Amino acid sequence: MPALVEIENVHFAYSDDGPEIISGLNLTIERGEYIALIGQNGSGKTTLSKLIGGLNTPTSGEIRIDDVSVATLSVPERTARVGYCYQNPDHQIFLNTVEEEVAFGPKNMGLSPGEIEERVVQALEAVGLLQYRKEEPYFSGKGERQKIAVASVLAMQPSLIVLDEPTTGLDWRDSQNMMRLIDDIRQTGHTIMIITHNMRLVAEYAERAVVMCHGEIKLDGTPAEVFQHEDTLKESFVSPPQITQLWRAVEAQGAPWLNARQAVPRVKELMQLKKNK
Amino acid sequence: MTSPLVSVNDLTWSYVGSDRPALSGVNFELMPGEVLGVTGPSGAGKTTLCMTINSLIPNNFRGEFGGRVLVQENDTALLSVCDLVQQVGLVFQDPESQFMGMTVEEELVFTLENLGLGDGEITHRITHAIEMVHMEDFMQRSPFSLSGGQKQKVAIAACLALEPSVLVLDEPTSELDPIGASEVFAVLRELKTSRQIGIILVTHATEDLAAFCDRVLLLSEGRQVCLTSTQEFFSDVSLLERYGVQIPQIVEVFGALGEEYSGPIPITLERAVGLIRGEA
Repeated sequence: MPALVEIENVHFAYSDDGPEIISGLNLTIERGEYIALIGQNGSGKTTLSKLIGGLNTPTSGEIRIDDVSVATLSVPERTARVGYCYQNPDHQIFLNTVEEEVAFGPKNMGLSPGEIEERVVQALEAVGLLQYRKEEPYFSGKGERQKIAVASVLAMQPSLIVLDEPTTGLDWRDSQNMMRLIDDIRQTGHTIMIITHNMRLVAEYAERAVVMCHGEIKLDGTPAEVFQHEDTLKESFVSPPQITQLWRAVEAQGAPWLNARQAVPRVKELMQLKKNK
Repeated sequence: MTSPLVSVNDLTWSYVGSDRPALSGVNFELMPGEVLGVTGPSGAGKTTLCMTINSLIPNNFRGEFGGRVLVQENDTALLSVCDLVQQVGLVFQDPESQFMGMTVEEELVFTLENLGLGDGEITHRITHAIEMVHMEDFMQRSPFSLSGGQKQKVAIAACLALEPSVLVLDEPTSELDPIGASEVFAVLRELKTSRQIGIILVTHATEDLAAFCDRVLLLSEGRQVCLTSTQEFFSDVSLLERYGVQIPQIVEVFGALGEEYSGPIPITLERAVGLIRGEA
């Protein structure tokens, strides 16, 4: 069975004489993966995700989804495969009620009214907003609007869901809620790609981290593998989570710590050793 | 005795049509060279508080204002944003929302020209401001073509050119990569120490708050929950949990050590490393 997404030697520039934003990039995404795309502002993360979703077209190279070239897919065919949640939900929301917003995609896919209703209910239930279906989308804070944007994408039941900075502007509690929601969505069989600067969330939630710099992939592996490469991370303007930095400073061997729970037993030992000296 | 740069006394504010005050009973002072961190859940009133410091509230929004905000002993309710522009610099989360110029230089010059300053004075100020943020090579670039960190530094430079005594930053690094964020903090550190500017920093990024701020003001639903030293704030883990404040990972680790550690909880990476290595 082919991989869900296959990216082969893709180059991209926004104009003929403009700088190359993506430079000969190769990447394969298997079904059911949970990938975090990380890197500095301007490294090409959002551009790459838009290429995958067919919102931009490669200058050269090819992107295939389900073994079909994205360039040959119609808009409804593309949106049925890749759902894209913008960093700012207000760039995505434009209708008068929550349910109209969520129904927009399925309607444009040509589904029957019964199917549309079923998908709207399912998607709003998944994000916990079914009781607000008749409200206007600005009824609450950014966290809720972010969920509406996610529901709009879910309603199209895409294989791959791309979430661009899903927690930016959210407080910690809302950020955790959003990440748990993404985890739940993943459990239902979707493949997830998040773009984020929050390395703590990458370490806690993602299974694969892909580091980009100047339009190229510099590192690709589990967060534990990727966060060990201190020099390459520095060159890519990425700094690992605070707890991994602590590991680097006091331990620097074995698997790096990705959360406080992993660090506590060893820090206890180190503190005990210090006492006994 | 040094006077406070900002005094906020029993501040309340309700937006027209809102059924609860956006701010209620807020009190604090900001001293020269001090960094006050402001945090709290979404809807706590943090951005509203920022807008009271340069008189956008009450003068440019409709609502009910109570209490007083003094900037260098001047009552801001009696002054316009324009009157305060040389005293209070306000930097928003999204720097693009405040850009108007076609080049970085135009961006810096705009407000100074509107203040009626002479060419020599304008050149002196923008040169100095752009040097402070280390962006001298970007003067002729479009501000819209810069990276997130660079845009935020231009927005800070535009404020610095006005030579304010107070800088208010509303989530200045939330859209930046970690390196962009550390560049912004390096500039702020320099301003705090070399210029004695008072800084009010709103952020959810508690590891930055812990490393950079002298005191922390916690707001929730418009109310002032506490105003305390950064060390005390992050040592009260139950308070952080109650208000959904992200607990820095260092604090989580040392809070879980139990009998192995009874000293003050380290709130920065450097301090934690020192303790574990036995250097402190």
